[in-house]
Amino acid sequence: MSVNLKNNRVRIVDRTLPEIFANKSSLKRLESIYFCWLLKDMGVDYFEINRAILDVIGKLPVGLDFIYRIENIEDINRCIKEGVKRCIVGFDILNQNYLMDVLKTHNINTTLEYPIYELEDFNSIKQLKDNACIEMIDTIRVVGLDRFITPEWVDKTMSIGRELNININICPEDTYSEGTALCLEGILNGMDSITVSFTGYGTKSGFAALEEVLVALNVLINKENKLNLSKLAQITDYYSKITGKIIPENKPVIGKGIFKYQAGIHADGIEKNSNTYELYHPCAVGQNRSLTIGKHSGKRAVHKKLKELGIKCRVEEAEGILDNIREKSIEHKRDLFDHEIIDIYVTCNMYCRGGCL
Amino acid sequence: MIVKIVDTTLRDGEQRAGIVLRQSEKVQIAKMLDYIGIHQIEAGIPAMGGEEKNSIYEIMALGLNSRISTWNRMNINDLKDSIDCNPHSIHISIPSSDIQLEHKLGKDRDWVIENMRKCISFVRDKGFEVSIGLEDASRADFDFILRIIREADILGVRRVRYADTVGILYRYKICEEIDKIKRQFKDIELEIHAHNDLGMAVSNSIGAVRGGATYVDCTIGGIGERAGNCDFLKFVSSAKDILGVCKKYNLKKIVKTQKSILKIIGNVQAVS
Repeated sequence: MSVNLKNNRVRIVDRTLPEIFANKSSLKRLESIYFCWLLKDMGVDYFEINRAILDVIGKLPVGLDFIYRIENIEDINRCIKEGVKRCIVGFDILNQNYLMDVLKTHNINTTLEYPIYELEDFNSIKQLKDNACIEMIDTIRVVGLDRFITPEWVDKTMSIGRELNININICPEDTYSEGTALCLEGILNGMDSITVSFTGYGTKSGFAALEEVLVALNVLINKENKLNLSKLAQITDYYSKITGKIIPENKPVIGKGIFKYQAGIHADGIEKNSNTYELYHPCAVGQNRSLTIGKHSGKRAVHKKLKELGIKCRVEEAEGILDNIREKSIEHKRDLFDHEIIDIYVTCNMYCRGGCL
Repeated sequence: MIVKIVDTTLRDGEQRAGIVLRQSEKVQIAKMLDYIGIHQIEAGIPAMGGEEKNSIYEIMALGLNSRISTWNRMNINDLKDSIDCNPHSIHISIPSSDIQLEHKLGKDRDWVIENMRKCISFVRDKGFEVSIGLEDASRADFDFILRIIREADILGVRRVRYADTVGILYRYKICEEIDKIKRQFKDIELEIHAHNDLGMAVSNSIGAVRGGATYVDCTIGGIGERAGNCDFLKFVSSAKDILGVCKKYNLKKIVKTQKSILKIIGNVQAVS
């Protein structure tokens, strides 16, 4: 599907599967394929795979595009046999003319993965110009980048593309929590593609999180032509189910708790206009908003909750039970369940009728 | 450059739905934050009264090395509660975006300036140090932000917090805006308060420091409203390696203390 910006069509490569398989995953064929289909619906163009994944998937499904990681001649043979049209290689493969010739002969679109961690590393990448096989490379995937916090990296990366007349893919690592920012900057500055993983999952420090990048594109850049990300909640559930990984409640974009609100000032704002404290509508990512009642609740939130529970009362009456709600919440060290809120309301009212007021 | 951490675990962190801290727990956490060398602890919202206010009294009585501050709406009654607690510093949150003004408060910009003047003067007249926070600054008209800061500067405010309330920032924008503010108000210290809605709270905080912010708001484990705030451990790790700042913090000590604090905070599943 790609992400279409004004002057640039940015392709998205997902590398979640190899990262999952690197941890001795027991993912099955259909699970892997269905997961890819779900991600394709979100805008992913290519799925990175390797031999371990191919051993599980077997025959590749039609309709999904894969990039196969080549590590030796057996991989090349497998790639050709399975009809995979794209591959990714490291520098060691690039230096083996025979292997590169085989890839070229079979017209396999080839990406070279090149790590860049320091600005000096950009100098060495230019030496590729003298490499006899560089003309056989279609794309350079610049992996790493995580220490770069100034715009200098963008110019240097783009100049590689110009000098080698080659497409640029970036695959930022997330060691310093800069992955999403790096992807956005890459996209904004005309890079051809990005490589990410769902939830940012990766064996070392992980990568830019696919879902964060997509929502950031919708919110910050692609406001007129938004991607439909309403299946994100479904994908998250499926990902958890097939991998056994628990997604933290406050995980950006996909955490189940990110649209729960309670604090008085926020609850008041959201009730009046959700834009006051929400960057985007929960349904945009397949979630729902929910008001919880507890220690930080204010009178308007309690009033709204009581109304939801079928209790008609004035805001002042709701304010009257705030202290009891806070006490109960502190006592249990959690938010309150609906029946507890009703109990408090009923008890307070009975007490008041009995002579309190 | 020295970067100072303002820990808001006990205020913004606790505001995450599902987190409830008792007085004894808040006091215990404050001691731990002090132990790992936090410069300032935003201890809570005195206007909530009850245990919240009592916990701030108790934290103040500990005489910690960390400075203790309280968070307030722009409201004289709230500020009276803060003054009761006698903190080192009183923070006033100033709504600064038109979205907040129109849709939440139904007020205009002049109202903000007028009220801010009253509130700052009220607190400063009582001899307290005041900082202001530009709520929703990342969606506010930048000229209005400058106007707020100019007024606060005249009234003697020395520190301004730039709050990315809904987490919409990206690192170059915040770097540029902080730099612009810093150039215009050389005597004002700037603080960044980033939210993690797009997973960029740490990145944006690093960007703000590059722009000239010298205070960074963090929470333990990144807990906070929605997707949370800037994660203290992640920020310090990044700041040390990338910017060469925050060197005084001992990461091993932080990891151990974070574990203990998160254990006190407990299960943070919100009731839905």
